[in-house]
Amino acid sequence: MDIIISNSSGKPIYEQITSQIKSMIISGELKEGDALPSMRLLAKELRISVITTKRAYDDLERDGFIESFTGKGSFVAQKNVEFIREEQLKAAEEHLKNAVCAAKSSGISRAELEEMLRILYEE
Amino acid sequence: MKGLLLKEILGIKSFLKMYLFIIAVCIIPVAVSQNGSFSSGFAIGVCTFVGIMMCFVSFNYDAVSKWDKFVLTLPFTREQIVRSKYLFSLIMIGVGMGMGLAVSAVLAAVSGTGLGPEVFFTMVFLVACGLLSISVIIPLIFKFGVEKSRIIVIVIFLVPFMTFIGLFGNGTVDDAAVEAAFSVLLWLLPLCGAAALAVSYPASVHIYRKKEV
Amino acid sequence: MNSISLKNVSKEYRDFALRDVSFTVPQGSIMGLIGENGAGKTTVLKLVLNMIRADAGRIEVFGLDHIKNEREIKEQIGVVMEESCFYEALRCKEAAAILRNLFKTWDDALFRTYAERFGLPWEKQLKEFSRGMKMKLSIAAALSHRPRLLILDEATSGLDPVVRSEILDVFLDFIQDEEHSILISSHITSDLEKVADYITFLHEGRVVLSENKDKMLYGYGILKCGEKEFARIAPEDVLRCRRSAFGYEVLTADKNAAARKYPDLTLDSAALEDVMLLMIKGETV
Repeated sequence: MDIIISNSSGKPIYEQITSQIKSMIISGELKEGDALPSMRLLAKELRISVITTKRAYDDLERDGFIESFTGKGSFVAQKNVEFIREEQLKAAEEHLKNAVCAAKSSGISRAELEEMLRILYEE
Repeated sequence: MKGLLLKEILGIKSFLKMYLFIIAVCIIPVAVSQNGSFSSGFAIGVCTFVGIMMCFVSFNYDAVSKWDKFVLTLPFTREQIVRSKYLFSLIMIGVGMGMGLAVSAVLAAVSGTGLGPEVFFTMVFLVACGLLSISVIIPLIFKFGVEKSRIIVIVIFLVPFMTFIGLFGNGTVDDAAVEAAFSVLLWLLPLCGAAALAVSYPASVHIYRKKEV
Repeated sequence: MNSISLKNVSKEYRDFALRDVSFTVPQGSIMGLIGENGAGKTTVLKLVLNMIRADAGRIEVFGLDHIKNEREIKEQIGVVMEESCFYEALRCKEAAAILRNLFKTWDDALFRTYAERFGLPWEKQLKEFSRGMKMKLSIAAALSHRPRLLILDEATSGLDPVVRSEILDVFLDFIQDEEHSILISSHITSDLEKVADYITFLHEGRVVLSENKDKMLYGYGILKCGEKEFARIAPEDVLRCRRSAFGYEVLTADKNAAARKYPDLTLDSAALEDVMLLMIKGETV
């Protein structure tokens, strides 16, 4: 599994880790029950602090993507991938709503908005 | 403890050449010019003196290499660290004396005179001087550091030396008085040396326990 | 469980005083001690190691009193002070022979492994070693009795980036064991920014802040604005500010709140160095 950390993206490192692991789980690259690297190993390999990987794993656990067992490590949770996808879909819909709101308030046309979406999606 | 002593000995290893050089420079001219008996005492004296000086060398190396700080991060009590310094100094006096004896033996063999009983007296005298010296030097260094102690020690040892010269140097004292003084000193000095050591060691421990580096 | 804890520790010198220093190093973490030269970093480390005595306060290492249990504690600590600690005339193998007899738990094979990994010439005298090599020797020496805690004073200062990176790798290896911890002082904040879990920031003998590093890096922010905008910023949002001829830099403790409150102002994330500089040089309002 690859995890790429950017120091200049402005996005906190723990968020970069969680979002990449989430997408690996959703895409099926990581399957239910797959073991994740230990927090300490991940920290060492990425040359970041343990507290950062711990935060990332805590967040993933909180969101139900992984399960951690003391002494054993962390594993991809037995969670319905459909359910995760649905949640993500809901989140995307929410963001799109905001975008539409903003567009309407300043008279941006649907065509313009769609064009923008197309460009962003292809980025 | 073994580690601390090993560090001392490996540390002064490079000083060994200097040691031999000093012995050569001091002893050879005297050995050549004087009669055998005098040079044997002189040789033991020089070697023992260099042995005593090794305690300065050791402390000095410690300060230069910052070992004096590092040693306090090691799993030893402060008393053990003090003890290692005393042990090392005693060993060095012994080694110095042994070397002196060896040199004297060689000189005696060459001149064909053999080692006389006065060698024994010289040694007792020097052991006592050695004990007295390190008993003064070690606590001083623990208290004031090597640089300041060097000056203090010179002053301290100059006083009895000058007194000695003052008393006996003008030649008015007859041999009998010197003889009598020596016979007293022979048992008094070792006693003083042992007593000094017995006071000096706890004093050093006390000083070093309070020391901050 | 904490590896180290300091509670209200004070130490007075004629020209410098450490006052009321409290912080903890949780087991399994790396604590970075930062501050400018003379801020009291080395004094703190010396206090922990009982090289000097505190006038007041309590220090515990592994939950034990650091003076009563000194020997027991020191068997389990590896220490690297800023300067080399061996006689220059010694050879690497002689240093190893000494070290072998200094620690009960010394592991010769492990020391050999480090020496090879660091490329330390076994037969050479230490005076021929570069500064980086000396530091690597000190670190190898500090690790080879398998300590639980590493205490390092400016271990990476004055070294080139390649050596610094090698050393950071060693620290990260060490911390793979959850029972291990590191307390490292440095005025080079970029190294600690990478690997430290917690940061304690000393200034003029006092702890300015002691915090989770991520909280600091992602929590603190710097608002940049002109005179007019500065007037709009509520005083409680200003931790420190610094004025230049062309505007203000404002350190704020809650970047996200500031982003919501002042959406039109430029808001940068704060690097450790920025926090350090503004805390020292900035003014409060």
